[in-house]
Amino acid sequence: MTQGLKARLNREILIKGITWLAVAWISMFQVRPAQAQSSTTIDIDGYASAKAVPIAIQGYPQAVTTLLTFHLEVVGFEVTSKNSARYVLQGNGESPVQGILRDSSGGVIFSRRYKASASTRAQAHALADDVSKQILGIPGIGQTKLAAKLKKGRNGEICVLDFDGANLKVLTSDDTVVASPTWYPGFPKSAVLFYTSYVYNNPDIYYHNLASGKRNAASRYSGLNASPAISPDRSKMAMILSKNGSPDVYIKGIQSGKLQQITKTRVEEATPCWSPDSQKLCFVSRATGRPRLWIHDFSTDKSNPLQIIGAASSFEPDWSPDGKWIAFTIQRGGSFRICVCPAEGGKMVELTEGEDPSWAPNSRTLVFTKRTRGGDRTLSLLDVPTKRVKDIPTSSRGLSQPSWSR
Amino acid sequence: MRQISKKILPTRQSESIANQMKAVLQRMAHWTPILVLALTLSTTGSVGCKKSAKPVTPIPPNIGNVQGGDPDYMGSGFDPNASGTFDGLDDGSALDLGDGVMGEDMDLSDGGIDAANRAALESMTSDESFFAPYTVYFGFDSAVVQASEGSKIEAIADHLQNSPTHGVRIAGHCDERGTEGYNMALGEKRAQSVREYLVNLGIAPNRIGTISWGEQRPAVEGRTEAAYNKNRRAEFILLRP
Repeated sequence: MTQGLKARLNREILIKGITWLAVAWISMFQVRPAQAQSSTTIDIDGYASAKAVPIAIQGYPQAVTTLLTFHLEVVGFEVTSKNSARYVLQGNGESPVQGILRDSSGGVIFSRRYKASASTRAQAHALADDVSKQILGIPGIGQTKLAAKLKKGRNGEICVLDFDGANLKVLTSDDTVVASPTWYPGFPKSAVLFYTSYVYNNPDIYYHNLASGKRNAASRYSGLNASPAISPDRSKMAMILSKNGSPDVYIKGIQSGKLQQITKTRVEEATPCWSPDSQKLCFVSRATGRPRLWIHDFSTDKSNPLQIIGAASSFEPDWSPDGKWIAFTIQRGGSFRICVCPAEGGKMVELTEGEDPSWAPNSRTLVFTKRTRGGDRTLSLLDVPTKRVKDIPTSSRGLSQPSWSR
Repeated sequence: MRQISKKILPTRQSESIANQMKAVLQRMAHWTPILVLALTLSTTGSVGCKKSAKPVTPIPPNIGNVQGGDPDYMGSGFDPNASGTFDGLDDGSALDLGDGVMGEDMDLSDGGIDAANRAALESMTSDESFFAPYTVYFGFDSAVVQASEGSKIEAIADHLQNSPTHGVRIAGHCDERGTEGYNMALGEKRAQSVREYLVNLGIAPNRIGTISWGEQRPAVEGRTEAAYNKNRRAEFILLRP
């Protein structure tokens, strides 16, 4: 009797134990789907379905009207006639640039006049910045720059330009292959670019001070030194090195010089980028077969695939400065598309044809590479919430691999 | 009656077998989510990127590449602002890039690069045509050496075994259908797959360098399947002392 009871108790304990273990096991695995669900709180569909704000521009010289129109349309306005506009921006036809912003009922929102000491372009961009801050609540991009690769025959050079295509300057004269320029965070207080050049017959990373014109080697290990990305706290450089026999993600301390290998795979990793808090890296790996985005979390020191619904392969991530989104490229059929998904993964939105997106400091505009029918590459701008695309007007053909200063 | 019961009996047996099977299946169904989860985890699990698979052969310093391997010039850190901060944008005007910006000012002296070693390696003569017939081709978006290409790599191994002073640099290339950034890594992986093949044939790793050109040096221009097939490749460059 006692023995029978004991056996029954033992059996019950055993069954309870197994059940408990099974539940614990299952709930362990369910952590990830649960996290993916929480990402629905960030509504990608809502974010990417805004309507452009109609605004009328009047009373400016032609060049200023053109500049204001381009700038405002890039960040989510639509320049229309006064009748259909919700806002009216009124100038006085002279310089320095003035602007009176009114709502549709004629109420004055602001009235401003810009420093005559600055160039007319700078004044007009400052006005457009004020309009976007006032109406959309987004930081201005009027003083930002783009860095890009400029194709020259079989080779390329690194160049910088204003986001509206003006002031294109070629930085290098390496007459070889150059790749993936990226800004050292903190522009315009500092203006430093990191990029890969084959100038010494190997893909090595250099950093180039735009103020002094000096450049130095940042990474010249054996094999590939590619895709530099500086952490927003400016303490580390992420990059792709192949010195251990396969292209892997590494980070190097800017001050300490300490090198740390982040991935150790037999497959290739590519194009790392940082989260704005410098605590995570997003990069491409084909560790699970097809190339897709992975997140490395420095707080846990673990890498996990980013679960994106609907993306079989994904490339070239860029994390928005507000931390909410990751823009990336997918390949569909023979073409590439720009997509955005929440930084925690989940549902993505396919925005337009193109590749290699880079966020503006306003976490709203993307610059990306577009392939023309003739095969040339050009730069184009995309306002994510309204999905509107504007090509950057430039006479220079063959621009690609853009990076937006921030 | 007997005849009827005879008919019924087999039916009952088969019913009870069906019920048993149902019960087994139901029991299995209980475990299915766990099995699926376990399978999912094993294929896409968090261990993927950390798991150390069969090791690949590191590139030793000083060999095959023009620069001298792993210099420690960054050992003491580096300061992107060392040459002064940028203050040219207060009024929104264009960047003042100065006169010295065109690359002539490159300062490698404090880059810690071993100049003597560089010179020694640069003195090795590159011969790009010697191994031209042995270029190895790859499948779309793949860095796997196909069986059909093995004999070419074996021929390179034979040459290196017979010419102990020679080295080789493997140049990996891609067609233009990938993104530029990814193709840089894929080109390197192709070169390194071929390098691994040579190492497995007994060639010392320190005689084999790699370089990726991504999609920047197509063998054939054009947007045809034939051109793409010719561009996904690894070329051998003979290095003579």
